[in-house]
Amino acid sequence: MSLIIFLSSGLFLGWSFGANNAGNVFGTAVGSKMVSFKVAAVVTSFFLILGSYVSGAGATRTLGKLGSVNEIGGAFIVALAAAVAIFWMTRINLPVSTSQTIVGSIIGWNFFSGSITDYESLMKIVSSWVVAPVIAGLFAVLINSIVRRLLRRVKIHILYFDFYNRIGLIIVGGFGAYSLGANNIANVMGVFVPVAPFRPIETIIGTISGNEQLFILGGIAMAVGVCTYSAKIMQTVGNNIIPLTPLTALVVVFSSSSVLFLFSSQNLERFLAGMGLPTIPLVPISSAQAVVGAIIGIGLYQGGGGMNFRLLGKIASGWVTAPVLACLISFVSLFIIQNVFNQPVYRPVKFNMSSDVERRLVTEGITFLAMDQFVDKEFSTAVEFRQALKTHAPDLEVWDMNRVVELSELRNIIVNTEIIQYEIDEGWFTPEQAGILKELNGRSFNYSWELRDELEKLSPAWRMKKNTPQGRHFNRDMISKLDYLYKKFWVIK
Amino acid sequence: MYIKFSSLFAGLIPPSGNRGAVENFFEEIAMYSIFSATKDLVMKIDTFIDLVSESVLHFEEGLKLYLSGKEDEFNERLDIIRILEGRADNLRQDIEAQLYVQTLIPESRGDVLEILENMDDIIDFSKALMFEFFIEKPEIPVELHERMKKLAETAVDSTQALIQSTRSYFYDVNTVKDHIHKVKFFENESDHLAEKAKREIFQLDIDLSRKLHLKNFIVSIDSISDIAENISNRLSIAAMKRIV
Repeated sequence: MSLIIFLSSGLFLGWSFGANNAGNVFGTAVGSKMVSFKVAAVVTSFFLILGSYVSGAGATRTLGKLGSVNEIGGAFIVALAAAVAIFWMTRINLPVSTSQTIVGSIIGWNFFSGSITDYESLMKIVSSWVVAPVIAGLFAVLINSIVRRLLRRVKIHILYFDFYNRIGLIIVGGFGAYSLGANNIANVMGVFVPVAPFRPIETIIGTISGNEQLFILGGIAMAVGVCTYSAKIMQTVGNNIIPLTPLTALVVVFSSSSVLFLFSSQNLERFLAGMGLPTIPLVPISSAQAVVGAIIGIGLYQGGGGMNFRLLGKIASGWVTAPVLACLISFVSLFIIQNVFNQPVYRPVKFNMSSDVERRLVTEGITFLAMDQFVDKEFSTAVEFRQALKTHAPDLEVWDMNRVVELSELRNIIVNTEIIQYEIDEGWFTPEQAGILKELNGRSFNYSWELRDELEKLSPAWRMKKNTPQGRHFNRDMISKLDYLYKKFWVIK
Repeated sequence: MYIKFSSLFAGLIPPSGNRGAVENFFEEIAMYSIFSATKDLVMKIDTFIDLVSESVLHFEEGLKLYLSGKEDEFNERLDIIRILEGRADNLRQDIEAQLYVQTLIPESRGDVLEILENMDDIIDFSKALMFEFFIEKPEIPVELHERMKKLAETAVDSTQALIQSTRSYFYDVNTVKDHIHKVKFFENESDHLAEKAKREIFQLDIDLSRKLHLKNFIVSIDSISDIAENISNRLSIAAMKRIV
């Protein structure tokens, strides 16, 4: 029963996500009256569910952003706070970035639980507010002028042009919806993967695993959001900033999805690296910001007349408001849930710089004058530990300080491959990786890095690769596997 | 700002009157899948433009037959133009309906419909003018015959130039300007010829009532090129909007 309640917040988040984000893929098509809302809603829903399903069917198991929230009750609140913030923005017809809102909500949880906020992810959000619109805007202008040049040379009947334009909008919109579903389902549902009660179902088309069922459910929630609540936001994106012609509508969605694909696709990076080609640096880009940027680009290219700058100001302030609002709602709700309803919202994590940690730090070249004072001293939160370090170890640099805190995090880890048997059977771990894990069965570790060191020592299958684009992909996958293990093998004393 | 509790769920309830939405959706999907629907509409527009072109050519021929006294053959032409007018009307309504129902060319729909409606006026006007000849049976002095034929030819030339421009608007908007200036040229020519014809009429030794009657026909024939010119003005604006 409690699980259904927990899941409901994920579904609400999915619903809000669908309602807010459908505008990014079909807003311009609907706004320019080239595609009716009904068709847009059905195509978006279908591809969102498909994207969610395919992403869930893959062997990789990402917990999404909420993975850092270490208690299901907390994940429930964090998802709910993000959903409420996105819903609020949707009500006032402002397109916002879902993942940024979720990060805002997690920061609320970090404050509440005394965890340290990764400022890098915060910087990513802030830079996306500027970088995404600029890159997408430039791209839109470039594509727009290429398309116009081409069209001057091609003779095509106005009605055939209309036909191809429409088909183009539906295809690009469909692809956009597919990747929206595939990229965001983990944020919406990922955190519930370890606790979902679904058993595999046999169907005529094959077995649908528990994960796939969970992700399909998330996809359906998104689809319901699209069908029931996305009409107005589509108008905001597609018609209210600047009236778009069918051609510019297509240019906007095409350029914003190309920018997303080129600058934030890890698969593309891997593909290019695999072909021995230079890779494009990955930049954090949100689809909401890319679409708005592309529209601004087109508007300015056309001379800037008729652009609704007031609305643009509102949209930009929405980008800032949504994460901040989510952070506040999350913090307040966590307080209420913990103190009024007596539900655990985070698992307390203690920090202790043992002599093992000290040795490890020294091997990494991290030392500070007051090091010995800290050995075997226990701190009940990361914030408290860091504060103490700041006071007593002023010679420690920020980066190194984070590393000290990270390595000192106490976790009672006991390897038990039985609880990850499903993942092993599904082939997420290579046979060699699984074999090494089985060898370690029953072993306990005080720190997560100890488990990692042990795994690395025992087999090259658990070792990171060089920081090349190809290796980066492998390493990302390895990190998500290790995170999953730390979480699964974490035993509460 | 506060949110009413009930309104929180407002978006979850599908709007009323949604019956048959699935059917409508499949109809629309079918529309997308059928490329031939577009092809069919292209053909209809082409046929409509052909009908306008043919009608004015029949008018020109009809006038020549009237001047040479071949009444039966003139009547045949009148019948043909009547039939063409009916067909053009039906076709235009069809095109209009299809453009609206399938929400095609949303940004140019208004322009296209207006242009087609105005072109329909050319057929209507030609038919009405032939009717006037049929009913009023004006007696046209022989010395005016050549002038009148030339006037009709020039008026028809202006409509043909318009028709070429209109086709360009649909097929290759960048070339509209290559044809549209000819409409203006023929309209000027037509005005010039009409003026000469009117002068000649009033120099004839006939009753004033007959002079006025004849002048009326000259003005009407000249009006065809005026209509063509008005449409061409509208067309050049529509083309400018579309030029990329």
